[in-house]
Parts: sequence; structure tokens; C-alpha cells
Amino acid sequence: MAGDESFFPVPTDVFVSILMLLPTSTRRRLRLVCKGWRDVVDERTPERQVRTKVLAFISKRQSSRALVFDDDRRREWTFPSSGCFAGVVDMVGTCNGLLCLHETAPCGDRGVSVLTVANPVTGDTRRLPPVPPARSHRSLGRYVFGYHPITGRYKVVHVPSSSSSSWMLDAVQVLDLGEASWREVKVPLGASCNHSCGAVSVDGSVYWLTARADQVMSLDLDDDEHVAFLDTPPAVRPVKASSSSSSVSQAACRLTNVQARLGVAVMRHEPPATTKVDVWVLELEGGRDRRRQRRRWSRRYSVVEPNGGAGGSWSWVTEPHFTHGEYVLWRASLLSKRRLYRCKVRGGKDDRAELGPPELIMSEEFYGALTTFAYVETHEPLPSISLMVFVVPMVARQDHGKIQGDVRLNRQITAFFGGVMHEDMMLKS
Amino acid sequence: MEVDKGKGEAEETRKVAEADRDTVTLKSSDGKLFEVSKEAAARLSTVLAGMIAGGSIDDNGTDLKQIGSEALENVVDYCNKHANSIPSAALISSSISFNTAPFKEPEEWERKFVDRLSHDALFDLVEAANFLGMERLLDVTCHKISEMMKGKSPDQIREVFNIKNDYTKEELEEIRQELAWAFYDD
Repeated sequence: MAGDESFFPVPTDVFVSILMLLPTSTRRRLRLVCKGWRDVVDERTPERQVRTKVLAFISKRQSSRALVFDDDRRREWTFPSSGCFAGVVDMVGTCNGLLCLHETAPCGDRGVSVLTVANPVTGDTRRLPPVPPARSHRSLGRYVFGYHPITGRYKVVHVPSSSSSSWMLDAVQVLDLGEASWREVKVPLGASCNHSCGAVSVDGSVYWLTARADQVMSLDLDDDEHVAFLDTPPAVRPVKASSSSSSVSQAACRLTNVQARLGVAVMRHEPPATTKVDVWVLELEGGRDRRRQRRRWSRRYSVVEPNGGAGGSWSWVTEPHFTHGEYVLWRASLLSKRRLYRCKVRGGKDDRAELGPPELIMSEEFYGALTTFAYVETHEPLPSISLMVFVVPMVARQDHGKIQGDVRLNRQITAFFGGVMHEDMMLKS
Repeated sequence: MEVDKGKGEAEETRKVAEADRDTVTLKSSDGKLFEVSKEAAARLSTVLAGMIAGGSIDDNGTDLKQIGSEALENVVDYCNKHANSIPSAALISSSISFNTAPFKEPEEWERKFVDRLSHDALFDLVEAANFLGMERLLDVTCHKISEMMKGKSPDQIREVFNIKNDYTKEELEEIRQELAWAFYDD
């Protein structure tokens, strides 16, 4: 019972187990409470020792895999698709060690679309209700998984998009993981979404680009869920309505997460064989209060990557940029070969940074997509629907314990999408 | 075992009855007595299980000097409620194995159980659960406290948990700067 009761009225060991139930970002914020709390967070929780690890997600028909790279070991989790031969599980994103996964398959009337959140460390998985079909089947759509550090709530956002540049966005759909169904959030007039520029969640907001890539759209994940326009960095040139592929120097941009801030990577292919990547970061000044905030784009890095260097393969710097310490990730693919390298960025914050020699961290052979994420390990339990009792139909209520058990305790990743009949029943009602 | 009343020896009858009792009596620091099912106590508390197995249970009330009567009442209440909820617990464990997971979310009744507690009662119960080695009750109470920490500013947390801010303005600013660089330490 050796508790230092000056900062918390429970033994320190118990205090540590309480802290371990919280998301890493909340734990970090708790260091602000007092010195005693800071010391416990620093000394007894993994906060200070652990950096984000590289998570490579291999999306393949029937069975996808997540690989997490530590300094000397590699962990692997498998996510099989649910029955349909052509099903593919993709990773939407990760927040505080929880993964959001999306399975799609072309079978059935509208195809299969299954969203799940999982903590691969504890084996917890929870299937989420699908986006209302009227909103999802015609357009492409982007999913983003976000966490708001102040409210502590996890949300999945669906941004409908289309390959047509004249297509207008009237609303996005938001699912709070503590609630049972999706809500519509209206967007201002003139809103749209460029599918190929990606969508990211950074520090409590979700961002995507308009169809012409001339403005950033932001959705705050706090309680008002306010959607707004922001300027893009000066280097992003609007996409023409009819894009011609013959231009000498073709610019493309992707939204990314740069050390917990919004970033835009602007890639410009410069003939014959180099690509210049400018990474711009949105600096926020004036704290969290939206009215007093000032936003300013600044260029963090400019790197020139050799293109087509490794045996004629396609290669490119990949998101998230610079979240892995001073490293950037670089992936290369040639036929079925997929390689992932990391390169140290030299030259500090100068205008032009150089990439160090690439270190190979993964080499696999498969046909499918390779995406990368910054991952932190956690034992945090999955957020559960807080008003469970209101969404369980009357008939099933007597059997309440069992249904809850199925929803929350479907822990076997191998039985990932199996045996969820009860849950379906519950979520549809 | 049948108690043979025919022998008429009062002393003997009492002894047999006690050896056979399916409850144990616990005594709080302020001398109040509580009865709890022996089976539930042994299953939910590693400390009580040890005492029962080791025969160090006092029939006139096992002294738990570190635990006040309010906390002990809650411990006993939890044990009784837990005993009643066994059917659903068994249902879950028969279909899915969750023993490997480090933490299982509180069930609805457990949530309600801790939600009705006052701030002080909750913390006393954490202490009691820790002392008695009641892992599940400790999980449930810790979960409740972690929920109380979520979604609050440092100021609100200090207020809720009655903690003194011992930082200077400059020190706080320095930590805030670090926070802006979440997950990025060199």
C-alpha cells in the first residue's frame, strides 16, 4: 500500500492501471495536472519511451495483414475477409493504437461494405453499422477515423466523393463510436471532395481537399462538428476540370499528418527521373479557441527523391510524413514486389533537405495495396455504445448479457467477421 | 451433511453448523459485521480465498482493520450482485474466450453499481478492492475513474480530484509546447 497520497488518493500501482486504460494522447495531457502526475506518466507508462512504430498494411483479396516494425522485431496480424472470395480488407486509419478497418467486396446487390474497429493487441473487435445505403452506394467515398483529444471521443467520418468534378457534396456522415447510428452533418455550399488527394484526421479534426484541390475542408470532431474551408498552401495548383496528362511538370498533392499537424505533400515530377516533394504544414497559433486561432502554412521540407532508381520500379515517399522521428518512408513496387524503405532526412529545416541512404524495412511479394501508418500500442478497451440498452430490441432484452458479450468480446481476430448475427440484428433495429 | 439434533448437545450442534456455513463474516475497521457467501468471497478475492483455505477466518467476524464499514458494505454488495449475475457471465465465457485479454469492460450492472457511488465511496472501494485482491472489482472501479478523467481539461481534473497545481506558469508552458509535438520525442 505504498501510495503517495499527496497527488492521488489511491496506491500508485492502482493509479498506473487507471492511466493505462486511457488513450495515449489523454495520458500525455494529464502531465499538465501536477508534477506528481507528470512523474508517474513519465516513469510508469510507456509514453516517454515509445515512439510511433511503422505499421504497414497489406491489402489483399481474402486476407489482409498488418505488420508493425519495432527496432528488432516484427509483429503481424491477419485480417481475413468475410466469406466472399473477392473481399478485401483495407485499413482506414489508426488512433491511439485502435485500428479502423473497412472490408469491401463486389458480391451481392450493392456489394459488401463492412467497417470494424479493432485493438490488435488485446484482440478486441467491434463491427460498426454501415453508412446508410442511400449515401454510400453511388459515390466512391472516403472514410476517416478520428479522435478528439478533449472530448475523448472516437468518430468515423464518411466523405462521399466522385470522380466527376462537377459533383457537389451536401453532407458528410459521422459515426460516434459511443452511439449506435450515423448522423448527417451538413457542409457549406460549394463543398466537394477530391478522392485522390486523400483525407486525414489530425488532432481532433478531419481534413480533405475540394474536387479542384483549391481549398482544404475541415470538420471538427468536437461536439459542434463544424465544417469549414481553409486555404491550401500556395504551392498547390488547382486541378483543371479536364486534366491533361501531357504537361511537362505534373503536380499532385496528398494530405498527410506531420507531427500531429495537418500537412500537404506536393509532388512534382521533374523530368527525366526525379520527383520533388514539398511538405507544407499548417501552423496553428493562439491555442484551441477557434475564434482566436491563426492558421498559417509553412514549408517544412523539400526533398528530391530519385525516381525509378531501383530497377525501374515505381517509388514514392509515403504518408504519414515525418511522424517516424526524422525519417520518411519510401515505398517501391515492381510487378508483385513491394518494398518499404526508410530514409533519414538530412539538412534540418533548411529549404532543401536531402534523403540519406534508404534502409530496407520490408520486402514482400503480393498484388495489392501497401499503405503505411504511424502506430502506438495500447491496451485501451474499445469504446462501447454507452446507451446500449436503448438500441437493443425488446425481444432481445432478456438476453442482454449475451448480446453485449458478442458485440464486445468477439476477440478472435481469426474469426474476425464471423459470428456477428446478434450484432447485426441489434444495429439494424 | 445432516446435523443430528437428536443428540441434543447444543455445543456440538453449533460447531458443526459453523464448520458447514456457506457464508463468512467480515468485520470493518469500525466494528460492523457483514456476511458474504463463502463461494463468492473465495472466487472474487484472492486475499479472502487465501484466508478461507488457510483456515484463518474468524467465525465471530474476520477483522479487516484497513476497510471502513461503508466500503466493506459495498464490497459485500458487489459480491452478492456478482453471484446473481453468474448466468450471463457463464454464457459469455462459454462461447468466447476472453481470459487472455488484459481488461474486460464492465457489464451494465457493474457500471450502475459504481455510478451510484459518491466520490469518496468510490475511492474507498478502490482501496478496499486493492487490499482484498479483488481484481475484477478493481478493474471496474479503475474503469470508472478513468472515465472521469476523459474529456476534461487539466483545470477540471484538478477540481474533480482535488489536486493542487504545483507548476509555475513557465513550466506549464514548456509542457504545452511538448504536447504540440505529440508522439515525437528526440
